[in-house]
Amino acid sequence: MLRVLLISCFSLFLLIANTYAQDIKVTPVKIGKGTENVFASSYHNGYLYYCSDKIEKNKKSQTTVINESSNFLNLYRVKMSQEGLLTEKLTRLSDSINSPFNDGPISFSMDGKTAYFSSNVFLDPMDSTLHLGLYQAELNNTTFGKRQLIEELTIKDVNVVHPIVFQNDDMLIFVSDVGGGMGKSDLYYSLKKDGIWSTPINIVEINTEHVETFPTVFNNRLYFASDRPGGIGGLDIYVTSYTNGKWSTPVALPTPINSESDDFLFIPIDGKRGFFSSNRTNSLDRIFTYNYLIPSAEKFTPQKIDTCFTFQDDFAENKEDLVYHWKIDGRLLYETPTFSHCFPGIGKYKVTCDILERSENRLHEQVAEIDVVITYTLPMILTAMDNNNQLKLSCTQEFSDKKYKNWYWKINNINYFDQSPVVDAQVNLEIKLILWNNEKDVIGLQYEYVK
Amino acid sequence: MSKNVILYSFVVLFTFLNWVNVFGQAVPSPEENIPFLVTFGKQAPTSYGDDDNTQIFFFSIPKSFTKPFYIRIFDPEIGGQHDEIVKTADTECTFSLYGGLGCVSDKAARSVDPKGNYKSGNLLHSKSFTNENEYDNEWYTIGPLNPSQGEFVEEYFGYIFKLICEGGKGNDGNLYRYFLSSSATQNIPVEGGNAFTFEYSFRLFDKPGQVAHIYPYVDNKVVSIKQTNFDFDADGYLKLYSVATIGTQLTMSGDDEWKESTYVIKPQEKGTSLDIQIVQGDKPKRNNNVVFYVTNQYGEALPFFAVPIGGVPKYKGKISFTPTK
Repeated sequence: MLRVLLISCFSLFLLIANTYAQDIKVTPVKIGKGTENVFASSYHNGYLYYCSDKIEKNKKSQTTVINESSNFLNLYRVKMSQEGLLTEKLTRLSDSINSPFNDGPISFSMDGKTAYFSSNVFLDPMDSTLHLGLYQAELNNTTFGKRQLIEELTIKDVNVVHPIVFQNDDMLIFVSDVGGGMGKSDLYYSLKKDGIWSTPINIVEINTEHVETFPTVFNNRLYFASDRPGGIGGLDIYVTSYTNGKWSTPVALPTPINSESDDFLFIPIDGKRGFFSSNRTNSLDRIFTYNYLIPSAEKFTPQKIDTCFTFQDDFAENKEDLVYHWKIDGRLLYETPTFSHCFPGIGKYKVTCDILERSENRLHEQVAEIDVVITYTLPMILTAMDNNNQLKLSCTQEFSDKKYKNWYWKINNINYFDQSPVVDAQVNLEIKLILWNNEKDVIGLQYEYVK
Repeated sequence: MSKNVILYSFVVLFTFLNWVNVFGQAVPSPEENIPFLVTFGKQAPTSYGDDDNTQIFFFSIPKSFTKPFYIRIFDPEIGGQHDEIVKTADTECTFSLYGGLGCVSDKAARSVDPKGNYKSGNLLHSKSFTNENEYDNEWYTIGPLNPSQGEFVEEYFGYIFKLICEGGKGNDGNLYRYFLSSSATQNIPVEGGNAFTFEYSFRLFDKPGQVAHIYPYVDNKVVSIKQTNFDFDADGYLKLYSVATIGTQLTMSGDDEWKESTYVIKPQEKGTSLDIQIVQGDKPKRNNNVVFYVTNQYGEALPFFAVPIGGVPKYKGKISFTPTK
């Protein structure tokens, strides 16, 4: 892993990360040769944007080596299919973006007209210490405009890196090692007001005393890398959801995306596939594609647990002369021939019936007894709403006749691969859960959440 | 909802009484709550409560019972205590016991009317009574009898003997009871024994509000039944109980008249006994003698067992439930 960024030493944690079984295919992308380190930060308009420390001939930067042993990073892009196939030559971004020193990672606004990236900042010409700051540049199709330092987020002698815009470009998330944070490097955000970025705020719900870095976003989700305890090793990629101004508890992505090496910069293209970077091969940073080998369910069974039932005694005919005494778990509750009852939930209930023959004043005791077992033969979608209108979804197979090893969620047509996603419940949700053991053993469950 | 998401397992508890020897072999049985069988002399008008002056009862001895047994008759004479004497006790009554082939298998023997070859089988014993003090309020014993003297019929659970009580000349009513006993001098039940008839002529209690029971057995071929009753004097009402019905009203006859009503048998009732309850009125009614029989959809009479087959039927509801819409 490149040490030019905000990475300190790492500890290996042997604890198993909070992952779940998934069939995920990971394939290296053919970028990077020899001892070159490469890592991607964006996939934009069919281009994969990545950083490389390879030595560019005839570039002045290569003669000004300040960092200990590493070359400087430059930003590149390459036309690439979503499957990770190169379709054009690798291209170093123009000098309007790349400087003689470190440049990247880079990200783009939602409208695609602005690029945000890290680059070394020289506030004091006499200071040879390299610190990183945030830049932006306009982008017209594939042509970048002149880079501009985001001055309101620039702090002397402090690294401010890895900018990404979020929430309709009104929020800028980045990483900094500024003092007063929670750990070695933390995630911060700033809100745009009247074209100016506000004072950065530490994202305390996410940060730890360890490293948090390399943020990326996809839909309402923030991915980042951290070496916090509980991971598999080195940097691991975590995901958190942002709803109603709240971040959910970060969850580590499963193997083989995370590994015992450093894994970072998770770039989803859609719900199934994307890119990430890792130094799992010979400790050199390389780019990988991931592809969730997820099946689709042919049909989706609506999840509906009936707990309300109408009971009757099928035999008795002269019901006008009979007074029924229906008891549920020993409690006399109904005295009509037919009654409807809603049980509190899954469980076993005993329904018994005495019949009083009115004309004879004769009680026929315990003429019928029935055990009602309410259960669910399939896995169940469980929902829990918190005070912030965030709906936490989970799946239980406790009552299921059959267990499934793998599952993913499709919520309003967006795939979620974490075990218990948290989603904004201020809109109606079409929640689908696809579970499978193998490609021929797939089921789909559906649950409609109405706001 | 999944293949149906909801699983219901239900358990309906059935409690059957063991019918064997629950009540012994007294005829009528204590459970029937009938004081006496009754047979009138041939000169008695039907309005006295006997339509044909004949009562035919069958006794069943299980194959497992290989000892001698006895059929005992309580108060077989006509006069003295219990009997219904019209002016003077001058009526003759004959008890004839039959066994052997055809005893019950002959169709005429199972008819509700004493016609044709209803005295089928081998005559084993016959005794006529008039107004004799010796048997007034006393037991008369027939036997010892060898079970194999009867006609073995699986359908009726063993060796069958037929006891016909026929009123002879006279118009008095003979009130009597039977006991199927393994002893000549005491009423000791024959293990597994039973008694049944296809037409029941009996006396009701005089006291008001009494409930008498008769237990026709419904075999698997019965689809519907027709109950026919005679001369109930409209004293109370009739109700039918079973494992699948509570208190279905049946039609009751008035004085010297026949009444009938039908009832469709439910699947759960096949192979069980029905409990037809005769609920007497709330005023005392003296000397109410009645006749009762039940036929199936083919007009064949169903047997009334003194010890109901399958036990006294207890209603067992069938709870069904469906998701509330």
